Amino acid sequence: MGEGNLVVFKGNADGITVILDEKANFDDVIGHFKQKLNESKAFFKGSKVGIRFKGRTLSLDEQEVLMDILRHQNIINISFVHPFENESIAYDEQMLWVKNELESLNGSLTHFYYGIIRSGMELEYPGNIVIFGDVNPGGVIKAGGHVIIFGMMKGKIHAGLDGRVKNPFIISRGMTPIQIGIRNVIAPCPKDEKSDTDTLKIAYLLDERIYVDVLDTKSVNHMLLANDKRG
Amino acid sequence: MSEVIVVTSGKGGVGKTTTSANVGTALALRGKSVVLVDADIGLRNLDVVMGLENRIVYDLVDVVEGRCRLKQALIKDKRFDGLFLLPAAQTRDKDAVGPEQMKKLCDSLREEFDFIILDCPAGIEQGFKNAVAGADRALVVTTPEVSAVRDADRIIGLLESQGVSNMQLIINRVRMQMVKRGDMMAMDDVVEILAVDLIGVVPDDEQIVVTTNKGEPAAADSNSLAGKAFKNIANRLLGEEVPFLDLNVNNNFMGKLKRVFGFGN
Repeated sequence: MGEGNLVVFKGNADGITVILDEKANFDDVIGHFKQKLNESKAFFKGSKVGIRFKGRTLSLDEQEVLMDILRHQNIINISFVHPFENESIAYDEQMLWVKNELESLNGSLTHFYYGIIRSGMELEYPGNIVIFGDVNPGGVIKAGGHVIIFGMMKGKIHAGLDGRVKNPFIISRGMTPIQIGIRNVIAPCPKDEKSDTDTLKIAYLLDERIYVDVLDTKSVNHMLLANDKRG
Repeated sequence: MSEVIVVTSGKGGVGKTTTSANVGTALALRGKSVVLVDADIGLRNLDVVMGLENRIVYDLVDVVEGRCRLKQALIKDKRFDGLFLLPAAQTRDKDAVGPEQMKKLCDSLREEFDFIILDCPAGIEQGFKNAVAGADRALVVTTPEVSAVRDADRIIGLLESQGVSNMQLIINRVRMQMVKRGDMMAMDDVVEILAVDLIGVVPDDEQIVVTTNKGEPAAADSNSLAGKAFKNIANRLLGEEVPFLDLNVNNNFMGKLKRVFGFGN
């Protein structure tokens, strides 16, 4: 790239865009900028324009240097300096992050239900579900995320319908649902499964199979480690 | 203070009509003025169970549609003072009346009676909605069978959504022997699933079939265990604390022998 191209002035509808070379030394770029500015004295005379910098990421100090030059010149009558490009990049990235967070938050929002899910009732929520009560036979629970039931699970349940939720699980007292589903795996409850009302159980997905274990650190680690290994 | 009580179950054949007839009779025996309303339009049989079939001139639909006055349709029971029946129409169906009309009917019955007992049809459709519309309290009848309990559960959910929060459970046709053998659901299991206060446990009683066919409610028979259970339910409805019947009858030889010698419980 020739030295002359370190700084390019471009006129467009909303003013001038100054494209700064991305890789060159900043001092060189500044030098060229000043030079170009002086060269264009005749061209810009008297006109009132907005100015925008593009082409390279500028630190706050570098931005200050540029602003200083603009303030101490009488060549261009500047009406408005657009936000520095890297600023707006940072802003966009931040917005994107917030947007992604919000979207994933959809999977981490929690619906609290107080009462019994009786036969014929259906509770569906894109996030997590927490139920303070039993889920009776004939009741249906569908959650995008995890489900925690402080009661007996005897109905039909499907967790982790939202594929973005990591390690979807179901926790309840006495895990004896009529049918259990996590992600795209659906299984009937084993017929001989005794409804042990005193222990909390966790159901989770592993290698396309649903595991039901007593809820303790061992089973949780089993779920987390095995899924982490798969990336 | 009059109370509108709906007797409902969801599943058919668990004893709604028998319960309505017997609880109503028991309340009348306690000196209350009671009207039994058959809300099972098109499939009426409360009149048969009460033995009043031959006296029906007008029915509920006639009252609602204004073909007669309410008093004309009420049938006074032949045996018990203060007990009346408002029969359902047999030639029409559930759509003949709506919830608003039933509410109005219940309100006009409130002026005359202490207890208005509605015999709800099976199912969760129009007939159920009609019967429940004006109710203050619901008695949910179930038998200790998985299917009946499932339907009762659904009904309880629907009652809650209809705004009837005052409800109690009646477990009908309990066979203690079968429960003991583990062949029948235990009371505790039923109550645990449904999570509703229990107001009565009625034993399975062959005599009920006989009394029902005769059109004489068992509650009037002092020898009937089921009749006793229904009377207890009526007393509990009146706010009394009545202990549950001991249904643990020992009918085997050793049990009888023990009782003869005074070792029985």
